[in-house]
Amino acid sequence: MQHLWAALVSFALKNIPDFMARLLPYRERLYRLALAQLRNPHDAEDAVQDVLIKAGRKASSFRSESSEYTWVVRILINHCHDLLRKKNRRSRREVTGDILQFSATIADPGNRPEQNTELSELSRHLMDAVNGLSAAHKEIILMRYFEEMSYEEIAAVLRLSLGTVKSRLSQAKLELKNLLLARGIREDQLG
Amino acid sequence: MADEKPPIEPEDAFDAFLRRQFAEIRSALDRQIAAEPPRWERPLKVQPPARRKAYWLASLAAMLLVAVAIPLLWELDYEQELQKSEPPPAELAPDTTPPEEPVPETTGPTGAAPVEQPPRQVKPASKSKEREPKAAERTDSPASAKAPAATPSEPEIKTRAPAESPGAAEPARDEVSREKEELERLWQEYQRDPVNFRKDTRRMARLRLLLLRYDKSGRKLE
Repeated sequence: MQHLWAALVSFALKNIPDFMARLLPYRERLYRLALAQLRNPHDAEDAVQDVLIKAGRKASSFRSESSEYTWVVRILINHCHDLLRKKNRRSRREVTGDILQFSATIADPGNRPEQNTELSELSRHLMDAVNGLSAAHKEIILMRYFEEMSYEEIAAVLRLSLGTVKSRLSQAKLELKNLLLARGIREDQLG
Repeated sequence: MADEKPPIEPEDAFDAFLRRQFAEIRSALDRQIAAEPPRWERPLKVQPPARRKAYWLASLAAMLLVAVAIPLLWELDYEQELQKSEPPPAELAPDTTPPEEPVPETTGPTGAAPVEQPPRQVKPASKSKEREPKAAERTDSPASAKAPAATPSEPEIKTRAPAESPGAAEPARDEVSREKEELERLWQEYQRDPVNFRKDTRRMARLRLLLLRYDKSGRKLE
C-alpha cells in the first residue's frame, strides 16, 4: 500500500509539471477566454491557474483525439461557468429584487465597477447572454465563435458526432438569440 | 494572439453577427491585456495541493490507526487481566468442590432411578464463576430444578465423590475439556457472525485467550 502511494505521488509530481509546461504557451489565450466570461482580471488569472492545475491532475484522462489546448478550453469554460453560478448564487442571497436584475444586466455583480472589463454595450449584453446559457450551449458557442474552432475540433473535444455538434450549435444559437431579444436587443441589431 | 485561423464562412445573418461581435470582444480584450498584462504573480500551485492532499491522507491514516489500535489495546489489557486472574495450577486441587453447591441428581421420567450425571466440574476461582454464568446455568438442567426432592444430601456426595473422580488431576482435566468445548462454541459463533462477535469485547478476549491456550490447528482471528 505504501509503495502504491509513493508511486502515485511521484507520478503526479513528475507528470503534472510536464503537462502544465506544455500548456503554458496558451496561458494568455486561456486568460482572454476567462476574462471574457468573468470580466475581472484577478478572477480570470485565478481561474486560469486553477484550470491548468486541474488539467495537470486530469492529464491521464486526456485523449489525443483533440489537442491539449482545446481540451483545456473546455475545462476552462466549465470552470468559469461554475464560478459564475456560485457567484450569482451568493449575490442573489445578498442582493434582492430590482437591484439584482439591474446589476446582472450591466456588469458582473461581484466586481467593483473599475475592475470590470471595458466592453461595448452590445458586447456586454452578448457576454451576459452567453453566461446565461446552459453549460452545454455555452461551451459550444464559445468554442465556435470565441475560439473559432471548427466543427471537427468541437466534435473531438466534446466526443460527439458532427451532426450532433451542428444541431446542438443551432439550438444554442436559438437560445442565445432569444436571450438577447429578452435583453432588449432589437432584431435588426442581430444582423 | 498566436494560432489565428482562417475565417470560417458565415452560415446566416445571426452567425455573421456573432462572428463580428466575438471578434470585437476578442480585440477589446487583447487591447486590455496588452495595456494591463496578467501578472501571474501567483506561482502555479503544484506542490501545495499535493502536500495538502498528503496531509489529508496522513491524518486520515492516523485516525484509522487510532480507531483500530485503541480497541486492540483494550482487548490486550483485558486479556492480561484475565491471565493474571487465572489461578495457578496448584489451586486446582482435587478437594476444591464447594460444599455449598450440591450436585443435583436428575431423576428419570418415572422418578424411580436417578439419571447418571456427568461429574461436577471444579470451579477453581470466583472469577471463573463470573466469567461463565451461562455455562453454569447450562449444567443445571431444568429437570433438576423441577425435582428438588431427588437432590442428594451432602454425605451422599462426599461418599460418591471418590468413585466419580478417581484421579487427583481429574478436575483439572475437566476444566481443560470444558474450556476446549467453550473454545469450539465461541469459534463457531465467531465464524457465524464475526462482525457482531467482535463487538462483544469480553467474548472476543475470551476466544483469543482460549485460542492461545488450546488451539493447535493454527486458527487465527482475522
